[in-house]
This record gives sequence, C-alpha cells and structure tokens, in this order.
Amino acid sequence: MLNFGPYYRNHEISFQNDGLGIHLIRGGNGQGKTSIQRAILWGLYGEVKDRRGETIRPTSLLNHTAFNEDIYQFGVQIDFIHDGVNCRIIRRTQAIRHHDKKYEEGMTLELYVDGRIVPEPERQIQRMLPPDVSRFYFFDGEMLRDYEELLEDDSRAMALLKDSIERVLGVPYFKMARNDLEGIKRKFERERARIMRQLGGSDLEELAELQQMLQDELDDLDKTINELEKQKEILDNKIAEDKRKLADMKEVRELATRRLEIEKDIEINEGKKDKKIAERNTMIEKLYKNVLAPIASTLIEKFEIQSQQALDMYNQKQRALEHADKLKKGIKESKCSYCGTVLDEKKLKELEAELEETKIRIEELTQIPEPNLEYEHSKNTLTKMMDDVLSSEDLEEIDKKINEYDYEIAKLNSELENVKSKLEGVDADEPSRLELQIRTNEKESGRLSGKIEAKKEEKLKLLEEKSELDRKIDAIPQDQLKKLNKRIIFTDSIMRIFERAISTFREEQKAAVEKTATEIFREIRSKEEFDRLKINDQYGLSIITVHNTILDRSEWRSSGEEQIVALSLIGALNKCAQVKAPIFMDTPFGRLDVTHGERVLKYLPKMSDQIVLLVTDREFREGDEIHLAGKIKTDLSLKYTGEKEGSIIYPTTAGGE
Amino acid sequence: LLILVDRGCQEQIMTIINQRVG
Repeated sequence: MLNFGPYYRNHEISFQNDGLGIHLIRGGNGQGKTSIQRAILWGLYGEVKDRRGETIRPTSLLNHTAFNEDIYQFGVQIDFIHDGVNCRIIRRTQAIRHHDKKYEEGMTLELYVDGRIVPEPERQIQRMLPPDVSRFYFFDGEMLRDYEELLEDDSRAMALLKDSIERVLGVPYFKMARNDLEGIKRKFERERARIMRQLGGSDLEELAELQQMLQDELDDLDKTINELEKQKEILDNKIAEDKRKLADMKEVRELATRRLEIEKDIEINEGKKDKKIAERNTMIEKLYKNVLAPIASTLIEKFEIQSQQALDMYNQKQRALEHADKLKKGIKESKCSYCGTVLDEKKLKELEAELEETKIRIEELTQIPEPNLEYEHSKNTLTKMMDDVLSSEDLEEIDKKINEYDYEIAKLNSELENVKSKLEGVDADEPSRLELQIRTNEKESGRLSGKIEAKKEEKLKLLEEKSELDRKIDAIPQDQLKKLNKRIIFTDSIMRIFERAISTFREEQKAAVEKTATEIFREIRSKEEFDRLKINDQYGLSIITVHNTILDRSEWRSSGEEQIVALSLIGALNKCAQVKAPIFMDTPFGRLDVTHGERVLKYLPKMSDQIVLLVTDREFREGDEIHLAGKIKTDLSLKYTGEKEGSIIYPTTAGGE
Repeated sequence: LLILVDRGCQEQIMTIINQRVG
C-alpha cells in the first residue's frame, strides 16, 4: 500500500505459506484494520463502499501526512494466485490537485497474469471475482448481524442480495446461456425471413411477411409476459416481506399478553402483601403485652404461692375445728371420741387443756384470710395475657414474607417497564392493516397470474400458427432455408435444455447450501436442541428444532444466534461457490460471547483455504491461538503512532504483544 | 455441445451451431 488511509508511504503485508491457512492481523479500534480490507477492494474495483453501501470519496482515501506534504498520490499492489497462475494487480492514482474528479481521472490499472500484462484489466478482474459477490468474501461483523435485516430491508435490497447469492452459486450462467441462445435463434429467424424475400414470388413474400408478423407478435407477447412476471415477482416479494413483518408482530401480541399477565401478578402480590401487613398490625397492637410479660410472670408465681398458703391454712383450721368438736364431745360424755375409752378426772383435765390450745390455734388461723376466687381470677387473667405474647420468630416470619412480596412486585414492575418500553410506539392497528394489504396484494398477484396464463395461452396459439407456417415454408425446396430451419429447431432444443437446467440447478444448489449450512451450524450452534437450518426462497433462514418445530427469526434472535446463523450461511455459500477467493473478516466476533467465539474459531480452518482475520484484542484474546491448532501462518499487529507517521505493521510477538 | 459462457459470446455459440448443422 502506498499512502493509503492511515498508511504513510510504502507498507507491505505478506501472507506466509503461499497464503494458505489462517492469517491474523491484530489491532484495536482506529489502528487501521478496516483500511487493509478497503485497500484490497480498491485495488480490485477502483472504489470502496462504506458500511451503508455509500462510495467513499477518493480524497478520503489519501493519507493525511502525504496530503500535508502535497503528495496527491496513492496506490495498491496485490500479488495473488488465480486458477493456479501467479497474478499481480497494480492500481495507482495521481492528481495535480486534491480533488475527487482529479483522482478518478489520474487512475491507472495494470493486471499481470503469469508475468504478462493483460488487456482490459477491469473486465478481467470482474471475471475473477464479480464485485457483487465480493460481499461474501470481504465482510465485517456488522454484515453478519445485519444479514437478516438486509433481507427485510426492502424488496430492492432483497432482490439484490438474492441475485448476489444466486451469482455466487452459479445460477446466472444457465440464464446467460439461455438468453444467448434466444438471441441466436432470433438472428436465424431474421436471416430466414430476409432470404425468403430475396427468393421472390408473391406467395413466398406473403408467407415471409406473415411469418415476420407472427414473430413480431410473439416478441411483443414475450415482452408483456416478462413485464407481468416481473410485476408479479415484485408483488410476491412484497407479500413475503409483509408476512415476515406480520410474524414479527406476533411478538408484539405476545408482549401485550405478557403485559396483562404481569399486571395481574402485581395485583395478586399486592393483595397478599396487604394481607400480611394487616396481620402484622394486629400483632403490633398486642406488643405491649410483651413488655408486661416479665411482670405478669412474677405476679402469677406470687399469686400461686399466696393461694397455696391460704389453702394450707384453711385446711389446718378445718382440721383444728374438727379436733375441737371431738374434744368437746369427749369432755361432755367423759369418753374418748376417737377410741371410746372412759376418761378419768385427770384425763378430762388434759382434754380441757388441749381444747383451750386448739381454740387458740383456731383463733390464730382465723386471722389469715380464707382462700377466695380473687387469686384464681387474677392468675387466669394474667395467664391469658401471657398466651397472647408474640414470639420474635412470628414477627420476623411476617416481615420476611412482606419483603418477599416487595421483591416480587419490584421484579414484576421492572419487567412491566421493559415490556411497556418495547410496546411504545407500536401501532396497534398495523397488524390488521398489514393483513388487509397482504390480502389485497395476494388478490392482485392472483389476477396477474391469470393474466400471465392468458398471455401464455395466446402465445401457445400463435406458436401453433407459426409452426404450421414454418412447415409450409419448410416445404419450399431451398437448401439455405432448410439449413436455417434446422438451425432454428436445433437452437430451440438446446435452449429448452438450458431453460430446464435453471430451476433444477437452483433447487439443487439451494439444497446443497442448506445441507452445508446445517453442517456448519451444528458445529457452532449454542443449543443442542437447534437441529438444522432451512432456507426459504428469499434465502432467509429458519432454525428447525429436534422436535421438528420451525423457529422463525423472531423466536430465536433474542438467543444471540443471529450471527451464528448468518455465518453458517456465508460459510456454506463459500463452500458451494463457483468462485474461489480468500475470506477477509473484519472484527467478526465482536458480538459473540466467549463460548460462541471459541466454537467459531475452532471451525474457521474448515471454512476456506485462506482466511484473514482482522481482530481486536477484545475478540481475540491471549490463548485463543490454541483453538486454531497451529493453523496460524501469519501473525501481524497494527499500531497507529500518530498523525505524522500514521499506522505501522509489525510481527506479533509472544503473548499477542 | 452443451456452450457452457454483460454477450455479443453469441457469435462464438452461433459458429458452433452452424458447424453442427449444415
């Protein structure tokens, strides 16, 4: 590269091992990775497009320092092997003033094949790698991410992408051959009509005119049928696009349903929380009893002792009263009330003395209050209060429950906010409007189909008429005419074979791409349940699960599978391609997580004979080399050293430094 | 014979067909 982008003066990159294997070019953002890819594309096609497909102005490609030194010259030289032959491209531009037009005027291109300069180099390069298929060989991580969006972008972008894919697969070769043969057949027919006129004779002239008229009518019909088919194709693409949009809206409907579910869950949780709060308030109302509990406990104990003491005294007094009665009776009857022994004077005196003592004892016991229900009642009241005392575990349990409900409600609210933000700006009427539009377009498509069929029938009738006429003309014994008729019939036969080959080859290639994409996908997929890929007519992709469920894009895009699926398709296109070229990937793993990134890295060596990875240290980390198992043949690093010197290229040392 | 190619290729195909027929 000479003065290209951040590369001041001459810089050379050499891919080792004859270019075969994996080649790493490391550099952070803004160090000059993308400029290397752009330099190659500029060398090939003389222009570079940015990520939005806009052409980058030549004045933006010149190195700053060169510009400051008034050197208005930049260029690229590429050495490569094509079909086993060494080739070299040298593209330069030099301007007298720093002006886009001047650079375009000052551009020169040389192509050497096997050491010899080749005429018409632009056309030769386009044959080697058509510009519209280069997007599958020189791409960046953004393209992987946007692949499906490209399909949905609009009908034009979709048609362009579809054409590019079919071109990679080689379908247009059959189309070109068919069209070439059609052109040749027309030439033969014109020649035949011309000769017939020359042969003279009014009958012959009349036949020739009639034949020419029929041919003109057939040409017009072909044109009309082509236009109608084109209209129908545009309409069918629009229908397919609208149906995909409608499928995406299924997601919106699911979100709306989820929103209702969340709101209901929040309501249920709020109810449960309120119930627990009421329970807690009731408990707190009884909390004063906890404060009184120690005092009540002491009082109960005291009441129990006093009650027991009173009961003991009462029992003693009752026994003393009984004893006094017995003594009184014994004294009165002079006979012992317990054993019936007759008592003498001495014994009677002893009994009287004992009676006096007993009376004194009874008097003493009477001074203590007799047992009453007051003690019992007080004790019961306090015991009941003690039963109401809260345990700290009960309160903690309720607080824990309330916290759980709070957490659940907060979580649901957060999800609700998320769902609401996704639903913002969604036009609720759009699905029904789209359905109506699809129905209207399908009706129109049906009408066009009918019209095409009618025109084809008309063409069939004309063809019958013409072949009848051809037979008449064929009967005219003219050698040259006979020869031309044979050539026309022969050309027609060949044309029909190519016509049938177009759809057969397209279907077979699509099946091969689908099969290869699935093989790649299985090596780098994130979930084992994702079984295989299916490619639709527009080259959009669906994942089929092991249970044979078809997952549309809206159902798997959230799982980060999008880049993996696009990479599988691009890998398959490269494997099935009619064009052999190296693959340059600019920051391809930027959005992949570690596991995905490792799987893709392990797969890469199988993807193409030559792969150049332009990576940042964030996506290709220290130790990642192990996944490429000795396939790395070149390892370079880039560094932007400042505006004056620009970017430099140097071999990477151990540890990725 | 099955020729297998933005055309004026047509001349070359025509030559082949002419050689085959006539």
